[in-house]
Amino acid sequence: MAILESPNSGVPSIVADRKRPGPDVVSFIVMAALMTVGVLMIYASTREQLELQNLDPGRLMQRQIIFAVVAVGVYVVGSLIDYREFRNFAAWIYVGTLGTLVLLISPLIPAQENVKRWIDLGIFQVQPSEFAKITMVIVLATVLAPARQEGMQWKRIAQALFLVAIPSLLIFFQPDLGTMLVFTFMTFVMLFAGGATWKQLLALGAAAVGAGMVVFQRGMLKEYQLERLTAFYDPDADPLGIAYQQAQSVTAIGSGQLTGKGLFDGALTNLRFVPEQETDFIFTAVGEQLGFLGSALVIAAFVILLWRVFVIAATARDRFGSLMAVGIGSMIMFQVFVNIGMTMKIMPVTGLPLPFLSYGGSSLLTFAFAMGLLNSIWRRRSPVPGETYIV
Amino acid sequence: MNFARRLAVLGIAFVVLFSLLFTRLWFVQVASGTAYEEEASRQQLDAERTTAARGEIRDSRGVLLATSRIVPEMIVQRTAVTDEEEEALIQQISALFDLPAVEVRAIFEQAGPVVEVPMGIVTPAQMSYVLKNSEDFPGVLIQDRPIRVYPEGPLLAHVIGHIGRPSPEDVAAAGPELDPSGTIGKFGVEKFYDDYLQGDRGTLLYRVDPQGDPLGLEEELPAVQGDTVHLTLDSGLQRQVEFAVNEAMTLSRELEEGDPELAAAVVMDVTDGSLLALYSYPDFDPSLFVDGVSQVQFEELLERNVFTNLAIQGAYPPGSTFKAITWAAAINEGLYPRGLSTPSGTINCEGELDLGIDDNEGGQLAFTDSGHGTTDLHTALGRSCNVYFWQVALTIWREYKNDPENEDILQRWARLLSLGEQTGIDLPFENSGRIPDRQLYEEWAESPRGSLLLSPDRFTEAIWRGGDIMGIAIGQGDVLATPVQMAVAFAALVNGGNVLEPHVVDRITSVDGRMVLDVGRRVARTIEFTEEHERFIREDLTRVTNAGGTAAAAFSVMQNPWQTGGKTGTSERDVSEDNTAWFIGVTPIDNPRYVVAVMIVDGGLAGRVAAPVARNIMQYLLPNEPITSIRPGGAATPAEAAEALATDEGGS
Repeated sequence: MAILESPNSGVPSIVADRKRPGPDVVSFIVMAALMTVGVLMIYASTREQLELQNLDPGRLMQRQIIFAVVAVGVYVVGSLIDYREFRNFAAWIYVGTLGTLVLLISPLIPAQENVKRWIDLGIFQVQPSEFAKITMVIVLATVLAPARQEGMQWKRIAQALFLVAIPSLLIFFQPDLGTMLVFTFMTFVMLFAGGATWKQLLALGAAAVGAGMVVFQRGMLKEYQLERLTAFYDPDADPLGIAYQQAQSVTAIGSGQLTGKGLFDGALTNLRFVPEQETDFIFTAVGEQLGFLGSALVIAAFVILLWRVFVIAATARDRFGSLMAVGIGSMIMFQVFVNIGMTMKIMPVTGLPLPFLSYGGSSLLTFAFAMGLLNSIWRRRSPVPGETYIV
Repeated sequence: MNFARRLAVLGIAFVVLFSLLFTRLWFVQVASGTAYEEEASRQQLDAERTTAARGEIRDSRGVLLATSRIVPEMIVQRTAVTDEEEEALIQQISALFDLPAVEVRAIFEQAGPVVEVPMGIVTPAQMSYVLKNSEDFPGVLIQDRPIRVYPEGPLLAHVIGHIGRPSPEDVAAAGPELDPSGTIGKFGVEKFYDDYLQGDRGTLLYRVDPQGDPLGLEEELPAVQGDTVHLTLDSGLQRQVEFAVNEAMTLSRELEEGDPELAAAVVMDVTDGSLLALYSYPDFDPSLFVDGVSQVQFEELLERNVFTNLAIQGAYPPGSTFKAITWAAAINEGLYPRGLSTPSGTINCEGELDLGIDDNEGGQLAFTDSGHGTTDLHTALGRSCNVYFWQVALTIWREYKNDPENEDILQRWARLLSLGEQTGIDLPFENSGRIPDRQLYEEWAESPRGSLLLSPDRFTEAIWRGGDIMGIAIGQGDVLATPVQMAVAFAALVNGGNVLEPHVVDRITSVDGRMVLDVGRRVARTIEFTEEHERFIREDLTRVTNAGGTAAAAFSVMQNPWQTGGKTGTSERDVSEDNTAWFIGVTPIDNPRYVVAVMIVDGGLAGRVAAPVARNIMQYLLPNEPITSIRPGGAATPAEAAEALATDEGGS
């Protein structure tokens, strides 16, 4: 990382007159639109239930609106920080994240329903594994970016895998299989984008499958972990009601038909026929109330968002920025595909929220910050006078 | 591969994955949206079926014989009660019903994990206690339930029948409209007309939450009470018939004629086949079955044959009553004793019949009877002369023994008159009786039980003999008939040859009065009788109940016995020492309207036991005939009997 001449050095610069490019308006609008839809869907799927409990029907919606406002703030912060600064703090961010994850599975934090996934801060709960996704994007981009000049040797891959493995293992013990899968997908995609050969990727894939089989055959999983896993490929066993949940989910979406039942007129949504609808199954509320037209529009919004990610990755000023964009894009793509696929019964139930729509602050803030980072990469795609970094 | 290419590869992967999402979305929402929509509606609604009250059964004058009353019933929703609560609840229910806690617990355990456990009918006091102390009765509901009520008790029990819980076969046969925990007709009209009586169950359609708890009523289709069945029977006449038969059974014991335990009597309208009275003894109270009868109780009743409607299920040898059928065969086919060609041609009855070997081919050689002297067809019926009818049988034997087509000419007459086959009465389990012929014996001979049914010499010599026809001619041998069959046969003899399908139901109307089914007069077939038959049948039947006839003594107390006709029958059974007494009568004989059939199994002599019953019933039927008692010093009507009883008690 080379320190640059200052604009006052007297050397005439081709960048002297340039101003910083504006933000990526399209992705911001799409993000804001998705968050708005999310707030409406959360209200639709929770108001009647809250009313029955004599609570304010807008309670969850209001919390999500607060999260959304904070999320926009986080987006602005993310946009203002020069993404390249993260390289300098990657190690500290990583260590901090590991510390939080260790704390989470330590006896200091009580389990909730057999799962240790949240830290209770009184007024709200934090889900550290969400933020850990950003950490891993930064860490992997830091490790893999130099491969542009130095090549993608096995040593670098090993280094990257080691760095992913530690938080993955900590998350495995929560357990949070969804996030583990996000890590895995993200790692593969970033390795590929960073320059790993097909041979290397194939070998890694084979190793991953082998490791998975060893874990299964040695019976290294606890009973309930195994049940969660077996429910993937054996829905009839259904110890956790997953098959029921998925059947309800696809019924709700299907009943929306072409034009939907209308906002707040979804019978299954209103009466909570789909368990966990406001969180992981929020897409069913879209499907039932807004029908094919609305649902397709939501998916189309994600397509636009990912198109912007590709553009940003392609135009980034450096490989680090490109890899960060690819990492964030893979994260969004994976979660959108797995989540919506799950609600339509073409993917297993993994417990991943739908970015921007699902109820929950941690996820919303994480994705908003990721969008801020993307915007930062976009705005810094070309040098302007007074910049600290040239590369 | 440079970075741009790698991005392009990722882009392709992205396009593929998201195309998959769009395709699947299209498939779920547009291609199969309708199916999911139906599934969604189904989940949101829960249908609860309501019980329809069973239809009423009324007699021909509108007297209510069976109806449904709505009563409050206690239901425990066991799923809504925790284990600790259940223990306290059992104590509460035990105290409320004054029933040991053990028994209450047994009801719970027997019911198993069903949603609703019926605890039985509650009195108004019990109901208000439960409602006032509802916190002590968690999960307890008071629901309206229709129950069957039989206001007249055992009267007409075998016609009305009874209800019961449907068997698995009933459920399988009836389909989803039958409530497996409801009731179904098991016997009598309750069974035969169950489809009409059941009514239509109602439906309460609730909107429910995902736990299935109701949120509100979406739609109510009210249950429709079953149709009203109007019987042809007259409960006033029925009471008289029941009384008369019971008196006759007492009379039989008093006269030491026999020891009857089974009896039946019917009164039928000879013009349209409607049954005006139908009694079978012993009878039962259909109310027993309303709340379920215990196994022990049921088996005890079963042992006493109370569930056999002897009027249609009791097939016994009809004895000399059958001579009326032989009479008809003789006069219509011109089959008279050897040497005679007219009904007025006479034989000299010396009380026995000597047979040539060729006539009987190894059977019984001598038949004995009291001597009747000079006898023609007319007096033979009046005096019940076996010898005359045996000779008719022998004429048939001689004439047709080499003519297999016509050797069963007598049996054909019996079958024409509905014997040996079901009459088609609208009651279940009708017995078809039996009219034997060569074919039947050959079937018996080949059956595993052949040696029990037929004597050994039939296997070595002729299987079918002239003696068999002689047996049939006097209603003995292997002839079996039910009282209703005999009534139908006699009706046809006097009504111009119309063999009627007897029926107990006149019509069925819906609750709002619409005609649903008009049973009406149904004629199975019409026989063309000869002019001689029409000229003599009433006159010859009248000979039986008047001077010189076998029932003359029983009918002599009537002011005008010439209004009546009929035939006695005293038949023998292998299994009993006592004779079975029959009487089939017709009145008024000039313009026949009623046929009365009485059968008292092991009752003794027909003229002494069965004929008085028929006479007493006819006295009830005929205007201007005072009713006289069956037994010396006995009451003539049920009302008189009740009065006598009341006076008796008052005096003591």
